[in-house]
Amino acid sequence: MSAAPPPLLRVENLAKHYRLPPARLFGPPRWLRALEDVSFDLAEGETLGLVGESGSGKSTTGRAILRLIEPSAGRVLYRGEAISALPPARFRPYRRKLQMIFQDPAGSLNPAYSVAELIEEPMIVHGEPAGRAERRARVAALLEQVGLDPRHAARYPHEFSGGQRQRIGIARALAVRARLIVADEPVSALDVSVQAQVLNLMQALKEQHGLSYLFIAHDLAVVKHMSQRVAVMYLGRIVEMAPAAALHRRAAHPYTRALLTAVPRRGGAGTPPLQGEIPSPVAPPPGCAFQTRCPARQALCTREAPALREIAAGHSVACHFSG
Amino acid sequence: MNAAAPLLEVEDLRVQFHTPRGPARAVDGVDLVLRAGEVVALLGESGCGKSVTSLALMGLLPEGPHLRRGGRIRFRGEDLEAMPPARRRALRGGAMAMIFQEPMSALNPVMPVGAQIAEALACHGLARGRAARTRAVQLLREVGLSEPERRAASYPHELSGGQCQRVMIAMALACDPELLIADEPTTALDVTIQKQIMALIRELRQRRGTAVLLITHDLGVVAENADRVAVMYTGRVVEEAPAATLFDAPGHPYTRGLLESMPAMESEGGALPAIPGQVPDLAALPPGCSFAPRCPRASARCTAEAPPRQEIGPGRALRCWHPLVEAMA
Repeated sequence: MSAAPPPLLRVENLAKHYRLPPARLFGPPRWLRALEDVSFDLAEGETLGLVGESGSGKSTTGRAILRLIEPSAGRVLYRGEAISALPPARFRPYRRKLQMIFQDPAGSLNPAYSVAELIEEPMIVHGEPAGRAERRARVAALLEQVGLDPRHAARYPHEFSGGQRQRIGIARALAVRARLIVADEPVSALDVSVQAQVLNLMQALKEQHGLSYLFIAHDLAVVKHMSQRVAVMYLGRIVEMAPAAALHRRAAHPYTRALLTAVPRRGGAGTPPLQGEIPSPVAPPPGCAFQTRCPARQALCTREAPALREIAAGHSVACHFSG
Repeated sequence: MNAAAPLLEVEDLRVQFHTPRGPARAVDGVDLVLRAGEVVALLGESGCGKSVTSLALMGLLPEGPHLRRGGRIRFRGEDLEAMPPARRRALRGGAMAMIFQEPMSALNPVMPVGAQIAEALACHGLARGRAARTRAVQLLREVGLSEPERRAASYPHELSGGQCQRVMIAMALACDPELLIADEPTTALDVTIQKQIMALIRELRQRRGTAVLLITHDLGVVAENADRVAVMYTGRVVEEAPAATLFDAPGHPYTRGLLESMPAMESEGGALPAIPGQVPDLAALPPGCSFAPRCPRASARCTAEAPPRQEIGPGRALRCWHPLVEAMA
């Protein structure tokens, strides 16, 4: 047993499989493997970015950690305590420490609640603070912290813009003194000129409150800007994990390189696009899931799935032929 | 038609909606010129009027007392508003084609995609029956769909978003358009698929000389694909420039604000220079320059008087009292 304290969050071999109806009557059931063997640590005060395209399992990872969906296999440890198998009543105190910010702030805020009620609700659920006056004072302080006018506390979500609604979502997460916030595409529904405001706010609050983030997004530049480390996901698995700076300069997985060149920019028209589409997670190819689109595919890739292995300090890649 | 004459000329386009909060000028005096084979981007955030502009160009705005239109649109020198409706219908989907952000919802969900393309061909009197179906398969092959014969029999829900957008493009190409209006064509798609679709659009333009009006909020997509850019804010074009110039030396504080607020792959953390505030309500625009309340360079003049469009160089115009670049002599 080492003396080092356990990390804030440890995810071990997390998996989520969905059973689908058989393709034909009385046929064998089919399984959608949304998440397979995902492991990582997240340190106190760290932001880990999860990047990937649709169907990569990045949102499933976030939801499985918070048990908004129950994982099929694997463990989640919060400060060394296994929380993924706790009965609901014993999990509740952890739910307070682990909060989530959603992509669509309009859809995640109850339209019939005023802003004050929305922010107060999680405090009532977790019974802290107990007094109504105290809670209301805290609502006002939180509104101020996220850059909203406390005088607007009686207004309803529809009276706010997208960026302001996202600020309300952030205030809700802070209301119960969350330690780790899973932010699932927090700015992708916002206008460009408002995205930067919300990203800056998230950075500032992280410093003020010593928060940690699991920052999930499809936009590589945004993820890199926000994170110390980045994990790249493809078809339910982590294919590369690296310090944010190294990912840009020393990307090792062919998929990560393809993602980097796919970010549109000046002169980018010269590089050829990655061919093909993401395969269906119901029938992934045998061997490496990326082989159907990989420019560096060899015979081995069609037979054997590559394991994630470390190629430099803190830099792992799941590819037979890189690193 | 002579080669130098613009394919599309938009002059002082105005679209005003009546809303419960008062009239909203969604498009407020937009001028735009597109020449054959050119890719022009209309760049802006939600509510800036870029999509309403594209719908007005296609003649797809709803009719009714709640809507007022003004200005002139000329396509190949012909005034679209003065055109008999039947002729305008023939142009729409013919010489002027459009693709949308949500390819899934733009396609008919209960009809195989091949039949939808064949229908478009039949509508424009180009082919019918078996010939139309054969041509549809050919078009699907041309837009890079694998197994086009099998795909032609697929329904939209059996295809991915990227594949549906390819079908939309095939349908747009069915009548060999001179102008393709692409309204956020890749916004709903993954980045690797976005790159494929934009490569396809560029290839079509090169092979067929199709002019493209690219409507987008994505600065990267503009930088990678456009020849010229018009930046819109609250219904007005606030800056027009060749794409390279716009990114090197933005002239409008709003354009610069947008460019600076995007995190770059090369940047190292830190706070982003964000534009303060938010896009104002179109039904309650501030007086003067509508960007003034968010502008670091705003003066008393900006809140009193709306800046007129000023040409400051070849292909370059601004609406700003305090531009970031000097007028070229």
